[in-house]
Amino acid sequence: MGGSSVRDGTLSLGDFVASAKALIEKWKGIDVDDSLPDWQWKSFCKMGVPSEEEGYLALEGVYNNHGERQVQSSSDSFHVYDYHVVYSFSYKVPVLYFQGHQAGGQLLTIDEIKEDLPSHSLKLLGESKWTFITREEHPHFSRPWFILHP
Amino acid sequence: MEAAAARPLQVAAIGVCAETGFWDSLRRLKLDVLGTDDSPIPITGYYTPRQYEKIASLFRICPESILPPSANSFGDRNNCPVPGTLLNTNNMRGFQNLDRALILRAEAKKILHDISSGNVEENPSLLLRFLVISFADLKNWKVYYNVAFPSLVFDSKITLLSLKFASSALSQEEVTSLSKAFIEWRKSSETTVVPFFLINITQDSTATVRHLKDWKACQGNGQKLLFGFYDHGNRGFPGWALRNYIAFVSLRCKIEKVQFFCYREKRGHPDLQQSLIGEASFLAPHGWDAPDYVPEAIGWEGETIGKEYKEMKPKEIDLSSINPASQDEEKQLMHLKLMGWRHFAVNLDKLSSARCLLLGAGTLGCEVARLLMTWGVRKLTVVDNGCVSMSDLVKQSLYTDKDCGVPRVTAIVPHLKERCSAVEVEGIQMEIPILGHNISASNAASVLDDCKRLQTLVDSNDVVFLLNETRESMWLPTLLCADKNKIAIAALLKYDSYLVMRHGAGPGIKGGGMDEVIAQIENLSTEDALGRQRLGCCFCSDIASLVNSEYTGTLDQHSTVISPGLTSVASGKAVELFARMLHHPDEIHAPGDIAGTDTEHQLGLLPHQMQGSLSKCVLSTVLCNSSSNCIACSNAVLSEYRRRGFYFVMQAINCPTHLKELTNISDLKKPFACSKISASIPVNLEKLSSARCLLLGAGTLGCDVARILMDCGVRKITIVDSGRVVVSNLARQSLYTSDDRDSPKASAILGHLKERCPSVIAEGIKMEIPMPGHPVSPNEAASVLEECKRLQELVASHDAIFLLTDTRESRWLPTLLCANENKIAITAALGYDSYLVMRHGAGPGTSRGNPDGDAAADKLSAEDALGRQRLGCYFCNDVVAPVDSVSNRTLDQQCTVTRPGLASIASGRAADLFTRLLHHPDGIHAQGEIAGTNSEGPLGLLPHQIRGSLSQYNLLTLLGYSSSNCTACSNAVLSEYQRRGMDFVMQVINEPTYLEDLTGITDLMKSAAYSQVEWIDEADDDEIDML
Repeated sequence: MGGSSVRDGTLSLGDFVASAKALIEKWKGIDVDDSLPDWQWKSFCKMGVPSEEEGYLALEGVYNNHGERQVQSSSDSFHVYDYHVVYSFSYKVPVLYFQGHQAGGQLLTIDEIKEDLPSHSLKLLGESKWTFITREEHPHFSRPWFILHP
Repeated sequence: MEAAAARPLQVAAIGVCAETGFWDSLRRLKLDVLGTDDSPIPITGYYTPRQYEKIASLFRICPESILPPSANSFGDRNNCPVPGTLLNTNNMRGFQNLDRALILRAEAKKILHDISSGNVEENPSLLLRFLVISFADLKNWKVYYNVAFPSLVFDSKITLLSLKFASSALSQEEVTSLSKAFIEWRKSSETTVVPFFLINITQDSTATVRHLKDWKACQGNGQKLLFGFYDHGNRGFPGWALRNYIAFVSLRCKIEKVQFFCYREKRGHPDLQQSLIGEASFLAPHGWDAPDYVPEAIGWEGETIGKEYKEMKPKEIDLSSINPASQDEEKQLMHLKLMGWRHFAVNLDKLSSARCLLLGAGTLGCEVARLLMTWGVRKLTVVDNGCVSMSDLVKQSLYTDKDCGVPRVTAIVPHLKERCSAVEVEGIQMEIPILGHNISASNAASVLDDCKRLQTLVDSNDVVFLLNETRESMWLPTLLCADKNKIAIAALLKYDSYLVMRHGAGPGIKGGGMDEVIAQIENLSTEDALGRQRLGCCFCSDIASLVNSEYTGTLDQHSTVISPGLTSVASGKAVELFARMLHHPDEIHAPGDIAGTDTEHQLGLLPHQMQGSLSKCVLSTVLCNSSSNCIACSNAVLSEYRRRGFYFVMQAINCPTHLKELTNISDLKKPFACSKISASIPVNLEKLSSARCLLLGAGTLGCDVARILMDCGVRKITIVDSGRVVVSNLARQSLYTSDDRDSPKASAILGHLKERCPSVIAEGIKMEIPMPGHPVSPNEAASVLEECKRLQELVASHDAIFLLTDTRESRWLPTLLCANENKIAITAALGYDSYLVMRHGAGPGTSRGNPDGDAAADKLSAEDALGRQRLGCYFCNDVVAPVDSVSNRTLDQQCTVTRPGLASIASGRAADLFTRLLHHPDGIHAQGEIAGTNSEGPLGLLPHQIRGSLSQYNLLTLLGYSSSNCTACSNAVLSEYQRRGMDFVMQVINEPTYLEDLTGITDLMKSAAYSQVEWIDEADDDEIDML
């Protein structure tokens, strides 16, 4: 992620914010799959006031026709994913939080998410159940999201 | 996509994504704020043009949607705010019965009004107004809902004249110019959220996007005018929004043909390849201008023409996936929140942060700890020095056979945790220093340690419960609490009487320029810190025996022999006192109320002391101020303690006479004198152990009654229940633990009874009790009939039946069967803060002189078999037949929200009433007695009904005779049952009003209604006269 390279693999908050904003700009320039929206920067609100510095990178509303890509998809056959990249102060790295829901709004369970994963990730998940995808409280909402373990 | 010919306009419906987060917010709002209020709520939905080539955009309803529109600033280019209405019903039946067609038309009427009033020009998103109906099932964490986008229906069809992709309908220059204009429109945060707009294209191919309100200026200027809107769809149809748009154009612009533009995007850029341009024609609708016109409307999601709305399937969302971790805790606290719906807003934060110190983990300690958890207390420290013994198991509600020999403080922790995982419990094993126990040189150090430790514990807690069995051991904690001004609640039991009291606040200091430290010692005020007279402690009223009672008392006093059920009653009251005190604005300084006085406080009276007796069925509230001679809380003692600290404490423990000198006690008064009945009452254990008891219901009441019955000596128990253990049961239903989750109560309870009393013979039956007013479908009829018969056999094979279910109608069949079989029936019923415990009267005898079988059925006597007037049953005062009392009610009524502790009190009384009845020589035929009269019975008073109120502190004993109009025990009903058997029962289950005809209630009501009408007329006349 971003351009800054640090020897031990960690990143400062400032670097994270800078590279996140760079990514947003770069993303706009490159031609990606049609079904991907743009990354956005979202400020962390404290008591309703958006913070100047703290925030997270969000890619929301990514559609996933699980399995085959049907053009004529009825409204319940696809899943919508939200991805947030949040800076973790304890690990000093960005962490990927994500959650998925059915088109109707029902949250996906880990088993349903598994079906959307590519096969090599699925294999990894089978090998190390608790170190790959876990469920943790999203630092900006008080709800658990799935995270990719850093 | 060249349109061949004119055809009816077809539009693509809008798909809705109602996110789990939204429903979770609604769940909280309903539980915490709305309560029983089910009026419509304004919400906001989020609309967006199509974003991806292959997928139609969804209309989002997200957590922000629930915010009041005035406080909701959320919205961006892909989230155009749209106003909507949410109708959330209180129960499933309400949801099913909503007139979907009618409310849709009412919403459509709003749209029509917004169009004709010109509101749409100012805020075009009003055209997309949406409607959500839902039932949020808070108990099961599910939501059922339907969404509609109301759309006005024209009298005649709208005709689509042409429809093309924008890129082919426009010239290259126009496309370029229009794209640029759209990018501008979408860039500005003000215009990007406006889903309806105008497109103006001049002769020289310059395109502009303008506000809808400019339509007059754009009309007829010779330029091309397109009515544009954000189109969510991805296919060759315009989106749903076009329909109301056309209604707007027709009504406001008064034209009959329109060119429209369906705006679609790709990766945040205008996609003119896929956007559509079309032309439609329509006839002006009739009568829409009339002010009271209600238009026809369509728009339910998934609606199919020709199908009844009632057949529309609700969508379902499961909320349990959103936050599994906090769910158990929320479920356990739900009944407290539900109290706020109608009665009293419980301060959960205050309760969960209150640190409670329980001195004693015995009979009272177990019960108080559990009830505190039910009140939402989450921080407990338990101090005790004993171990669990086999004989304790039936009395001390938390322990099981595995705990025998284990220190109580060790055993209690897992038992509390397995009922509520969020509770923090610490068990501390230590002796509480006892007044008057000689300290030898060898143990002086350890006693001093215990004193210091206790002081630290009192300091670090907010509330101290004195539940230790001897008064001598209450002295030091009382002193420490008075010193630190901590809330102290004491419960004292003696054979069949109890005293529950709160100690008064510590003394304040007199004003007058002294050094603070010295003033704390020398200048104690007789009043508390608020300048009020201090309330007394448990040593104030009897300055009594400082002498070591353990050695002088008899064996009975030593081992605190108490009647079964008394503990439950006393702990219920102690915990109630605690909860009330915590909610009182003055807390520890609150003055003591006396029963019978009025209070403005929502939780009811806050007395200082409560004294009650099971055998006399009395309850009195007592107010007594702090005594200046008190050996524990008087200023003399406190200043001595503050001056000399633990030296004084050690001296007092060693030699209590020192306290007498200090407080100038000259004469000794009698100790707490509730018990005048000697402790050696003949209890017929054999009678109790052979009595076969049938408990209907294994919930809060069922658990407590079963446990107390075992304590009384009952050994044959059959339990009937149809439910399963769920997490919200754990804190309230005393026997279950988290291991029992999802198992049937009827089987889970058996193990828990056995592990407390191995000799009990218990049987559990998982069965629904058939209820009137819950009609049975033909394919269920056989199984319900089976259940009726089974219940009949059960009643016949038992000696006493306890009616402990939570709906009125479920008590009907058992009441009838008991009256018919002449079995003892005991009802315990709970209201929010009051309870009823009663025994049903005996069944009717038969008239003499009719010995032959069948004829006897018609000759039921008005008296019982002993020729006495029959006592009434639970239904005798009713003037309507029992009906379905659940489906139409709000959640707090369905769950029978009661104050924690109430069930314990009622169960204690029920079990006590039973033992007394069993010992009465006439048994079921015993006459009802009223408190205050002298009683002959060996176990004290034997009332017919006991009604108690927690908030008013009344305890009434009532006597009512069987009514000839009773729907359950009257001779009319009984002889009908004897004649027709289960056919009659099944008929009543399907149509309870039959009972009203049978018993003559119908006629009674008619005459009552008639006289009532007359009365109202008279009242009206009076009013007119007065004017």
